Amino acid sequence: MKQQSNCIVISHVDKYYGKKQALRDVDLTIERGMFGLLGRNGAGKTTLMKTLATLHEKQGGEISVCGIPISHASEVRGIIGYLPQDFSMYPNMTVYECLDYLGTLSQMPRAQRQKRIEMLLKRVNLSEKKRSRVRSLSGGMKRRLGIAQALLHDPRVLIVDEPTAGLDPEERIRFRNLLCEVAEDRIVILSTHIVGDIEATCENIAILNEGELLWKGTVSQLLENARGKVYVAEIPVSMLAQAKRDYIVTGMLRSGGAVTVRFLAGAEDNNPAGRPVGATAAAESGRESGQGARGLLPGAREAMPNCEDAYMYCLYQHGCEIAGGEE
Amino acid sequence: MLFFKECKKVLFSMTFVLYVVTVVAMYVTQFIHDSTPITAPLRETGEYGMTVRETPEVIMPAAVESLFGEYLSGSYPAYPIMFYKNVKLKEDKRLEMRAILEELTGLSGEEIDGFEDSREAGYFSGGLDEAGNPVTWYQEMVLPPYSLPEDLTYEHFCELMERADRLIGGGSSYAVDRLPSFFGRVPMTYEEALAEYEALMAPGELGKAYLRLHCDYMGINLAVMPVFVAAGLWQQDKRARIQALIYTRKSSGVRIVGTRFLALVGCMTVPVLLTLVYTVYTTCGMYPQMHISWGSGLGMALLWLLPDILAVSALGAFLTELFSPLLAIFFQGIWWFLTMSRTELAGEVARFGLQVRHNSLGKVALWQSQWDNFLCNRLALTALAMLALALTVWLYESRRRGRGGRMSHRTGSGRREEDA
Amino acid sequence: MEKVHKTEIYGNILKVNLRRQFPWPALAAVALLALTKGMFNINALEGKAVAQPLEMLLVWIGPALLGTVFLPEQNPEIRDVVRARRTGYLQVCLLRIGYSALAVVLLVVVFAGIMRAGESRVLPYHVWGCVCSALLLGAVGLAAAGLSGNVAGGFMVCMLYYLASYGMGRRLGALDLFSMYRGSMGGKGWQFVAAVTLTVGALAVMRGRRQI
Repeated sequence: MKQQSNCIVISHVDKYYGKKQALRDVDLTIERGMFGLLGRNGAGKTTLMKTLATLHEKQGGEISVCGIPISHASEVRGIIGYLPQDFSMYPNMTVYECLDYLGTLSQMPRAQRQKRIEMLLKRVNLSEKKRSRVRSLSGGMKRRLGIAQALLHDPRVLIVDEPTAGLDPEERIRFRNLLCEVAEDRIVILSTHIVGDIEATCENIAILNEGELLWKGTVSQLLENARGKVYVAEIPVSMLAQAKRDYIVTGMLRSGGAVTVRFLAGAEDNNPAGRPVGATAAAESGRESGQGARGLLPGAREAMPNCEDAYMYCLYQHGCEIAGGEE
Repeated sequence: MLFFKECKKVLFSMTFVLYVVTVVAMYVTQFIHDSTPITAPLRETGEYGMTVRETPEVIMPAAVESLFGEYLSGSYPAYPIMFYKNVKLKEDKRLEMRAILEELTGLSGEEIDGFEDSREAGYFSGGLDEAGNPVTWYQEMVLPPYSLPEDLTYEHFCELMERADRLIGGGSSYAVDRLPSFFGRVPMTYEEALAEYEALMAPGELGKAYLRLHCDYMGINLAVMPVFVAAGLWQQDKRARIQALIYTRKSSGVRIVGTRFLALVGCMTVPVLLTLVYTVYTTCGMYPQMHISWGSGLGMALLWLLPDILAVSALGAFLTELFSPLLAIFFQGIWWFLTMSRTELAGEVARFGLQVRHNSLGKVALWQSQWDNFLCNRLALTALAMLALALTVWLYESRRRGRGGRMSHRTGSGRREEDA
Repeated sequence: MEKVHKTEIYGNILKVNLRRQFPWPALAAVALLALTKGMFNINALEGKAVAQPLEMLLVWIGPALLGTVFLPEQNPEIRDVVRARRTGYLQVCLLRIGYSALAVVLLVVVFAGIMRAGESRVLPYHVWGCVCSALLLGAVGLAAAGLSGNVAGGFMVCMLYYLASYGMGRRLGALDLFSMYRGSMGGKGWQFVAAVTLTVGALAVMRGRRQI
């Protein structure tokens, strides 16, 4: 197993909940900067995050965080900051008291606590709320308090689980920017099922599905992987249902009687499980006719894949059942 | 359907499982243990139990002794409305009480106050015997020698007792209508015991007798256990309030709270009904030669037990919604304890209160004399349940509309400070 | 230097918990004490009668104080945030158990003092017996609440034990909560042992399940 002092090394990790396997032979190295963990709900992201945060025990494999084996929980906890999916804190405490208490639990000396709390409250724009009770904070404020507590002891690793779920667009952007800033000098692992968050912030990503690691690499590699598989076509509304049945539609925009659909096609060779829908047949017929995508839907043209297309394509490529395009 | 979803939530909760355990345990350890067929009294035994009778010669000395003891100890137990109160009299009232005692004992005020060898009288009525069974228990008491005036009539005695009760603030054992049950216990004669046996064996009475005893034991449980299930369910909902509201956003508060309450009460009633059915079955087995009529007995059992489940659940839900589940449990636990310690095992049924007790297969006449009080008690408890339920609906709706101020913050919904 | 730092850390954890976790359970315990005083005659008692208020009502200060140890972190999200800190949640719980147990002792001693002032013949064994029963009932609540993750359920299990003790009498042997009232002046030590064993066992299981 690799031992590195500035990265997280996850090696063949398994995790079970009773008989259900939540993580299956996960093998991953995470280096400094923003790292995105992408996957559907129930893919195993939270389980992996909690395992890294020493809150869950793995059943197999090895994990080291900045060179410290995960079994040395106390040491690992000293260098990680964790923001859970639904951050919540003692509702009857004030914002300052909360941070001070959590700082104490992180064994920070008083002077350091005071300094860091003031600095972080300014940074997350909560200075004016430091005497407010936690229960009186809005969802966005609570999330900012969450990030402040996670950064309080200046951890080398920051683990944030679905941090933007439920935030309004402005708050979401603000939050993403804040994460990018803090990622300059530490490892930040961001778990989400919102592909836009990953696209906007992460260089390296991994995709989990049903506990298995489907893909790891950079965002540009993921995009490259989907190149030539994404098409756009303007079709009459009456053809929409048929298009949804035959292709994996990743986007559509109605305009009068027509609709612009964005869809994946031509991926059948890489799909080990195959997909018994029209997409495969249609793609083949297109290739046979030598007309490429133009044979698929009238007026179809190849498009540059975005992160969402690439993610969907990756799932499809690995045989995952995709219901998104069908009604 | 919302009702079945709520039922599922109740049925799979830990508190409900424990509730079923307590119902079964109480039934098996207390009731089934008691199930031996009733036989006619035998003259040669010479002892036929106790009965309550308004006999002035018995009541007057016992009541005066009790009042004297309480005067010397300086505290008078009383039960105004539903709570126990240990009353201490102020100086003017103490002197008035002393004057009553002077009249009743023939002693002077100085003689009464000068007696120093008194040990405090503990009129606790709800201890445990060696085997752990509840018994009435009096502490030994030393009083100065005295005798009742020979010209004291029962009417005048009752007037004095009424004055004493008023001084205590009402609800004491000296209230005239309570005197027989507190101080008029006398041994039963053979004829009375036989009459009681025959009354018990009358058509329709035997079944009722067994169901009364069943309800007596089950009532102990149902006066407290439902609060845990109710508080648990309401707390679970409070935690997931937002999801619940999204899921049922078209439903009215009445429907949401009402459905949940119905599911709660329905689920908790089922195990109780099953034990009732088992009682019917075992009793029929005990008296194979008799035709026992069960209709009115089962009606009485439901009228006895259902208000307990309704009231305890509704109060639990309301207090959980208003404050917290722990406060609901604390309140109910205290009420239950106070009621347990003050309710007679078989005697006068309070018109208002949490519990009805009749810990006897017999005493049919006593039970029949208390029927009106029983009805009043159960209806009052049901009314309390409905009031608590209505308040819960109101609270729920208030929170849903963002009202409720500080308390709403605890629930995860309601008004919150806006972002700066 | 390290020692000073640790003292400051644990001192602050204790201070915050005493200020934020302790008041409500303590208030409930004091209310129970006041209620016991109000409900029972506690003056000029002797022998078995002394045990009555102690064993029948005052013992509930145990569940009030110990059964609520996990209450602030009953919400799993809060618990996760706390557990992810360097100072283990177990240490926080042990600290709470420690001061709650001390409060049990203190309140029983205070109550015994009130009874003695009322000329009741309270013996040291009565105090010890009441403390042991309160701690055992509290440990039952703590274990049930901790293992089920449901504080209300914890109190329900306490109630079950209390009723079982009430109904089963001496058949519960050394674990009979009302043994002094039934005339036995021995065996409460086993309740203390049971309380400690139950607490340690529950914490060990919770630790094994990564709940603390």
